[in-house]
Amino acid sequence: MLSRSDRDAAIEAHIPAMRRFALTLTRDRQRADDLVHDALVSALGHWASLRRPQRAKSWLFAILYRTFLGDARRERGEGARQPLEEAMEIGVPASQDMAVAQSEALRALALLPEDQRIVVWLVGVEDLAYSEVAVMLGLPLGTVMSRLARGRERLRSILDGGNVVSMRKAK
Amino acid sequence: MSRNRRKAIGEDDIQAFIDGRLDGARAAEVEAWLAAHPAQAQAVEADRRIAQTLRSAAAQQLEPIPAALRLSELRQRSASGKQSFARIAAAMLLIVVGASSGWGLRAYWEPRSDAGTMADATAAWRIFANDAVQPVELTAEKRVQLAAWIGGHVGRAIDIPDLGGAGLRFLGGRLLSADAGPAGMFLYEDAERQRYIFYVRPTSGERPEGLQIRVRDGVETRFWFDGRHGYALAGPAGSPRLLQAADAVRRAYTNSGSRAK
Repeated sequence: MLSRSDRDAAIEAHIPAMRRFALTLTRDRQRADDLVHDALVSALGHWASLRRPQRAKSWLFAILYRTFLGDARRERGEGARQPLEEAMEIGVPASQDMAVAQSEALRALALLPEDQRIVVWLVGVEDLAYSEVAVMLGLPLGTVMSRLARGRERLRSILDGGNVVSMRKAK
Repeated sequence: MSRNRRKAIGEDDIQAFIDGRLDGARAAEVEAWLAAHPAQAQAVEADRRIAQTLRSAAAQQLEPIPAALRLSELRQRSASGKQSFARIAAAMLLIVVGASSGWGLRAYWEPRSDAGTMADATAAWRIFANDAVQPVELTAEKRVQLAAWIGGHVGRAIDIPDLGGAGLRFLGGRLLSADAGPAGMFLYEDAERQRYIFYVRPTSGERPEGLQIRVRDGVETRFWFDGRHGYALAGPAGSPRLLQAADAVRRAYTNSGSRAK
């Protein structure tokens, strides 16, 4: 059993990742932090339901995602979003080229359909296991894999200016 | 026969290969397959590069966690039940507004944010001094850039005080935003790893004369004003180092840089 301060540390360690994930979901800074706030409140109330603290990250992401779905239902059809690269607010870049590449990649990511964007982000950036993503989104593993493949394909074609190589032909 | 009956390379293998999640034997098979399929090989290369770029973009926006998202804060608020969500959201909005230049600071647990009490300095110490992840935006090695950066925002030349004489080592600093405008925070640590800050920002509203001292909840803030700026040192209450540091900074910052009208 973790003490409260260990538990808090376990949660707080993932807050930066939660904020990033919330940004890829909402594409809006204010809404992202509101979402993280609500998810944290919910996480504090449901801590007992986390069986394995090593899984805290995907557990927190799952809560965040469910909170997002709840909000999305309430707020369907609301206005324009901030561009993702702006919402992410890239700070001090390693170099100008890198900054350009980063904001292009974020812009392209923002163009993906939400179901692909989420999977590409959770796997590629947050390094969650495919099975964790499947459990989190309540999807079969095969669906996660195909969304990942479709998402990457689309991301690549946006960034390449429309040059599509599909892995579907992989045989 | 068994060699030819290897499982065909599928989409899932390729995704797992991009993510570096295949075991050695399967990875070698995918690699061999890609060698014979240059278009797919190029696509895999591109996907890896894109993933890497996204990771680096994500890594760069590791900002300090806003106070509103601190668990201790969340718990306090839900326990006291005094603050409605709208109020919290409003406080967070203020925090978010300053985001491009450091998180804005609006200490909503001290709602009567009074420019004349330098309460924002006390709040800055509470939030950042003991932050385990990223208490400062620029570290001590970048002292010169930091001084120029903060100076440009707060509107006076900043000479980052050397407080070695008070037993304090300079760690770095960050830009914050206070009600009165941009604020600079400089973080120091003593041999017992207790943290102290020097805080400077433009003044607004009424300004008491002379050195002021406030002790609240274990935090001591020593502050004063000149014509255009407020200055504060904050640290653990009752520390002789804080007293020494405040004296040293006050001497250095009296009649320098900030021209009283």
